[in-house]
Amino acid sequence: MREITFSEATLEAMAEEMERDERVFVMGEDIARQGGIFGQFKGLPARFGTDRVKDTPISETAIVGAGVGAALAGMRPVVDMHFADFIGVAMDEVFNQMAKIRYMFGGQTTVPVVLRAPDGIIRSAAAQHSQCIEAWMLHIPGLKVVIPSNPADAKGLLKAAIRDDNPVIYFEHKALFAKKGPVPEGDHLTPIGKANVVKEGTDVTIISYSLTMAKALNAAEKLAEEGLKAEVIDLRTISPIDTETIYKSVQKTNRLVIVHEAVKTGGVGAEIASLVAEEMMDYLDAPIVRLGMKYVPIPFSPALESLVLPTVDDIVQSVKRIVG
Amino acid sequence: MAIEIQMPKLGLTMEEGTVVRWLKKEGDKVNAGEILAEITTDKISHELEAPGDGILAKIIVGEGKTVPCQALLAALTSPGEKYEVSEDTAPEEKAAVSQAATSGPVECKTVASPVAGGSRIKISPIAKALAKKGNIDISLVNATGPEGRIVLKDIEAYLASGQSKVKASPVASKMAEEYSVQLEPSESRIMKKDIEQLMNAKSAALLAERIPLRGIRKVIAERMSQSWNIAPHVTINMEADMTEAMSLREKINQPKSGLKVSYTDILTKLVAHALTSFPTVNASLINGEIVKHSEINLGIAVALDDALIVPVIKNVASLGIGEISAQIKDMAERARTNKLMPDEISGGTFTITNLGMYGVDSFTPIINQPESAILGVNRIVEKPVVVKGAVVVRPMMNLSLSFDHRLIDGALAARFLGKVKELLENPALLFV
Repeated sequence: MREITFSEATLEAMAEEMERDERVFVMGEDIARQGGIFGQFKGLPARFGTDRVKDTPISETAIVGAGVGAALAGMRPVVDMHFADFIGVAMDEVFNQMAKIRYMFGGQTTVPVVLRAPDGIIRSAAAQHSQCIEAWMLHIPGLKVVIPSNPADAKGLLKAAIRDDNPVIYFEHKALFAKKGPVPEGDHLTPIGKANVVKEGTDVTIISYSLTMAKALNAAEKLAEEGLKAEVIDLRTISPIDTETIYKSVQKTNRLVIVHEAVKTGGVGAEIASLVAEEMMDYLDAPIVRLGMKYVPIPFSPALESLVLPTVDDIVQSVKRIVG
Repeated sequence: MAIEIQMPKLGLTMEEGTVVRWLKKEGDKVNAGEILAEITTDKISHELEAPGDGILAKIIVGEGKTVPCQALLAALTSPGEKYEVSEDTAPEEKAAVSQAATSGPVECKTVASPVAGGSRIKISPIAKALAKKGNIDISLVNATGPEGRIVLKDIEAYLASGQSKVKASPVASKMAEEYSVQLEPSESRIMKKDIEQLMNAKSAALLAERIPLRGIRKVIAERMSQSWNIAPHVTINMEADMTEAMSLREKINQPKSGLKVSYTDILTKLVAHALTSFPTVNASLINGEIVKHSEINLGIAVALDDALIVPVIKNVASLGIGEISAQIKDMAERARTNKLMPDEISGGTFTITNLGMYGVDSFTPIINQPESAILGVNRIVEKPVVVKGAVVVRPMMNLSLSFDHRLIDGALAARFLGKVKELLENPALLFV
């Protein structure tokens, strides 16, 4: 299979969906003229015109609000947030409008908005431009939340999000944009709500997603050298969580480690750990382990920046501790 | 003024005691010196005497309960006097703990609560679920998980070991243990009524009496098994010509001396003397160390009606035969009336056990741990023996020495036993 970058994969998804459905359009800061800071919109204005690839003023409230309005009027907007951190500015539009309207109108309308939210730590972008905030979104009924870890799912999930009639927050890690991987050509869809068992194993289940998946897989390789077979699951969708895949795996391995870049406290790991403790108690053979970022604002200093994140060794040691 | 009766401290090592039986009930009038109750420690049973006259007003610690030394057991009052137990003097009963420790398989939900020692058994949820399903007593499972937790593979290993194939209710398991019934794996769960049926059938066939193993019998059972399990026993035999020893005994037991020493008394003296030249025989293996004892303390096995007790004569090497004889008589008598103190039955470094009076010619005594050897004494019997080329009749006695081969090799044991034989055949060597 041909290999393209994560960024190119999202671009391909956009182009295919805009080609397929003329109601699909995209707007955001610096996307038409500049092509997006990671090149993820490059070439789109030439192909679809600036009516469907719109540069907007720097006002997240206005962009997200316009996206919700367009969706209610029958369009299928994709709104680029530039940085996931900026969703905060438009929080009312996200959690009070976008997430609630379909429900409050008794299903008389749908809100097919996709919010593209580049997140995560890259090159000292500091405390306000580096965060992973998927757990916030998980807490809001009415939103779907997806988060690809590789170019194929980047394409598949973006296309599935655009076709979904519900608002979808699409997190894409900034450090993934340049990563290459095999991506199917044509109409490739990754189902929302379905996790992916990337590596099968019997001794421990490691759940991760986004950029941290690479660390999880690396840790699994190191554990394999010591004879421990880790099953690694790429969550892919944060909401709704694919409990079926998780429970099935925990029933098999009896041990669970969840690792993500987002702050550990109140993170997605906390939700998964709670679900497993509630539903799979009798299958656990060891305490559940959560690994996540330290409970601090992300430092600007490159030396400190690397200190706040869970490492491959953290994962390896955690697994060894609970396997005993 | 009420007299408060406490759990006595019968020696330095005693920390707690169990009230086996009250021989008086509340309201009974008792005189000083009357036996109030029977007490046991892990070593002996002891009769608790009334310290004064009075009425047994209140029994605070019931039968079967274990309490620390000095705990309040009961109170005597003068007629008409009222007695109130104050809250802070009532001892904390340890019965629950000791019962839990001795009972059979316990259901998982009770095991999860604090058990002996106050510590929880750590077990992972899946291991716990499997243990519950298999009716496994998790206190018997070896924990190999992190932080001492029992994990799934421990339960699986336990199941695979076959120790747990028996499915029985906790009550049935406990009954089976008490009646020494070996339960076997079965399709359905073994219940109380199954054991009862079995016992009825057995009783009809055998009319056997069934007594739960407890008290001093239990202590003996445990100590014998323990010694047999940890120490590789070897027994060697050697005959001694008792002509000189018999003559010595006659000379000592003259009416003028007022003494009446037994062969055991003489052997005690001679063995102590022999041990002075064999420090390795007068030794113990304790926690991976060979302890060569500085004193020679000889245990003398005394048979009771239904038990065996070994009072210890301390520092025998420094005692004369008269003193040894008096001490053995006194202790044997007190052993028979249950009046020995725990310190009088501990601290031995070597034991002598005599079955000669029953006509025994040879036996393999079990070492009294942590000692490393025990001398079995047999009967004296007249036998034809060859002395200087002629067959003559001599009083012969066989000596059976069991020793712990971890510490003592065969040659050493043989030399030691040879020394005892030599002393018996020529007691004058005592002065050499």
